[in-house]
Amino acid sequence: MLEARGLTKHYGDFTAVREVSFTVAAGEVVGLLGPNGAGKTTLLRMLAGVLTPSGGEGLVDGASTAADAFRVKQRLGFLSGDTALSQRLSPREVLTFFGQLHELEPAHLERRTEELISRFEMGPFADKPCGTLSAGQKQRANVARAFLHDPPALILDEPTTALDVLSGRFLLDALRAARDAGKAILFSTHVMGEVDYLCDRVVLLHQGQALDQGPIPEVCARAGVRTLTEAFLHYLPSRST
Amino acid sequence: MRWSITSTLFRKDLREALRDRRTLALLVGVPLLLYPLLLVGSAMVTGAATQQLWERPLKLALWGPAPAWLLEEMDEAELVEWVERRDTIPEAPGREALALLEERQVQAVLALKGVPVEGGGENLDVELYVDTGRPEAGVAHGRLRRALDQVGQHTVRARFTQLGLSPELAEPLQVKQTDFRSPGTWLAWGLPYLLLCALVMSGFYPAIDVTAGEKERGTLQTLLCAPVRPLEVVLGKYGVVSLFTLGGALMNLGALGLAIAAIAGGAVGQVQVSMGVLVAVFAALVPLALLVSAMMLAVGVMARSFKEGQNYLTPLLLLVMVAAYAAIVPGLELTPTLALVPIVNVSLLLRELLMAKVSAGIFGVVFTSTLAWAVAGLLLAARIFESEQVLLSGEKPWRDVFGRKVGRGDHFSPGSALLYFAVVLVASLLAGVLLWKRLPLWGVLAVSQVGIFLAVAVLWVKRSGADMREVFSLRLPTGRGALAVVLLVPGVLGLQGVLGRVLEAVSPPGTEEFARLMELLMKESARWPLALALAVVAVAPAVCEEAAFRGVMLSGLSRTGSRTVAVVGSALTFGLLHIHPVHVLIAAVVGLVLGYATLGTRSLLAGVVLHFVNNASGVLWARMETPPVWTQSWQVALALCVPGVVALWLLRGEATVPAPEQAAPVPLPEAD
Repeated sequence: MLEARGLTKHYGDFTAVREVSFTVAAGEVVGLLGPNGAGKTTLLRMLAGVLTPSGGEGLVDGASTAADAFRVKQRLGFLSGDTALSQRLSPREVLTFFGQLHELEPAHLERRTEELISRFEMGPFADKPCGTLSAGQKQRANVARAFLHDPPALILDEPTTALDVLSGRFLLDALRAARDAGKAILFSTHVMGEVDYLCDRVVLLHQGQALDQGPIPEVCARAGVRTLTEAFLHYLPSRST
Repeated sequence: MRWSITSTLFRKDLREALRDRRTLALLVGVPLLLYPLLLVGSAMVTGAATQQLWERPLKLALWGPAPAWLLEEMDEAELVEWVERRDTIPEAPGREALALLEERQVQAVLALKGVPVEGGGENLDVELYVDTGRPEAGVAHGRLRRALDQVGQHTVRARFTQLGLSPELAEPLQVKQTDFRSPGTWLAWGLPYLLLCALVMSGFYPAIDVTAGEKERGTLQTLLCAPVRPLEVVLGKYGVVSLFTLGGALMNLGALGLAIAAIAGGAVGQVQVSMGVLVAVFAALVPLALLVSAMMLAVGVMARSFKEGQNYLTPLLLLVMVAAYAAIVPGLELTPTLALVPIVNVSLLLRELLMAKVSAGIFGVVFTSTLAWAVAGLLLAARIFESEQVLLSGEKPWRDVFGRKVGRGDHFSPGSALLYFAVVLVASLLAGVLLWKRLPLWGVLAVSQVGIFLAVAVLWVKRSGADMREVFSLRLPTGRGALAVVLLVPGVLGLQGVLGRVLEAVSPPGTEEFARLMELLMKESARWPLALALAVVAVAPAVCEEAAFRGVMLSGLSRTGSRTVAVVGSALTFGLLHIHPVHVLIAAVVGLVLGYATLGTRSLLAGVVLHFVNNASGVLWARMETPPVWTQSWQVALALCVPGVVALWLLRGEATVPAPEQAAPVPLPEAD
């Protein structure tokens, strides 16, 4: 459903991501873990068709980022800490706007908008300008935006950053529900608790390279440790210098 | 490119911009306040201050022996307050006078010295000490000189009377002066500057908001995650910024018109601000607004934050302000060369328009050349928006933007066709200006056609990697196509006749000037050998302009996937090439037929034949004593159009364009 095949990105002489490969199947959540500067955002942007890879390709529901980034964007919901909503538009207007960009049929768009407003409990603030909303309310609207066109795959780049515990949990529950509905989800975070709660498998990324990947118990076993945090620390110190 | 998506993006950006109070205040509030304040306020303030200067007594110092008659005469001629009187002139009169003037105790010092006259009597030698550098000194000095002249004249008349002579002998010259300097002239000199500044200011904040502002807020990245193409994004944003710059211009003109109508009864001095003038001024501002919007968009997207956007755009604002100052520079006239210099040309054109001194021809040159610059600016902005590095970070943009894309294949696109148009239009105008006095007219025409339109077209297509045969439709028409071309020959002649009749009936502004220009050209061509005239007026344009407009433009715009865009776009650009507004209209209509015929027959030969017939007929008629009947009769002209309509009907199913994706494969961007 979602696949990275030797994805590489160079910025001049600097290599941000080097030949990273992994897959995310339908109904699966894969966690992308790595310290700041590991290349997570670059990798996710390449998979989302926002950045052109220097090498390799990403596949989303059969569409290649190298050959047709446009089709990739049609099949993907992307959310990151950097993807903000227009301050002067309301969540309802934002959803309508992105629905039109996805060329949803008007009646369907209206139904879908109402459904998401209800599902994400956005009713009280659906018509207020996004600039006046709290961080949690904004992120709900943003998640609704990513879910709007009912994409088969979702990529989320540190989506719980700046959220309180309640809002963060709300988002994670929404992602679990999406996984249960058969979506392929790639999820990047710094918070190990979120990974334990949500992810079926993990990919450990450091200095642009995938150090290990697999189900959490297997990754821990290979590192000879008991927890994911220990596994993370096991891989990093020896390679960070 | 999908127009519905561009429209969605445009409406979203517009809605956001309209919810920004700062933008609205600049767009609506400033013009509504500026012009009434300018007209009423400045007139009131300046008028009141000047009136005070005239009404207040002149404060003077008088040194030296002053005869009683002088004081009486001065009191009669002017309202004078003698602040200081001395019977003798001090030893250092300059120094003391300067002290008095600097202390602002007096406005002038008069030092008198009696000068005996041969045969009896005495004249007065009057030394004046003034400081004309002071703002109010001009009025005071003028009043004093006028009073002294009046006293002098009065004295001469009295002396003539004493001598038993007629006092009229004292005034051998009776000078009367009519000054055409009008208090409204300043408006025509100052207004272009104001309008251009207002125009760029109106788009300033929206341009930053939809580019750097969106980047800073993170909404641009959200947008890039959606299935939208860079060209759709840039056109949506361009539409909004252009709307604001044009809206700003319209608001300023409207406010000015209202202010003048309400305050000055429709005219200020020589400046006739009628509705027609306002419409012409607005029309001149349209291509400039498009150019300025493109420049602001291109520069704005380089910035990473609103503040940085302001820093980047401020030099652009200053550049526009400096160029707009051209209208105020004395002696700077709108020459053909300056008509090609963006911003300066519009500034000077507005001045001429407000003074009602402009010809339709020069208007056309300024309009089309500015439009060409605007097209180039928009394509630059589109190129920048294609750069993911610029959109995502703004770092190292220039190499990313201007670096040559690698990869072979067909890069020919609607954008490259439009850029070709901008380049050849400016080049042909420049060539005309440079060669006009160096070559005979036929030489100028030949160089423009072959050296610019054809040569650049061939190089352009070759460089883009497109198939020359495909772009220039280098094939023979089918039998059906050939029949259509044959039927269109009388159709084109009939269309000429109909257009001529319509022009006569409607007579839009510039018609007479256009008729005069065409007559001059045809008379000139009638002096050449027929073969030469046909070669440069008919054959060369038929081949070269067809290669340019039914070749590069039609094929390039076909790659939008829309037949209408291709035919109308190529016809409009073909029209604009002809500069004079009336000629632009006629050529655009003919261009529609040529474009449809070329697309329908899939052969450039159709355009070449019909273009040749159209131009050659003009060359031949110029050598005939009586013009052909269809140029004089509605009925005959319409009858000739009938086979042309049949031909278009024959081609109706044939005129198709390839799907855009197939026509314009997008090469992979360069790997870093």
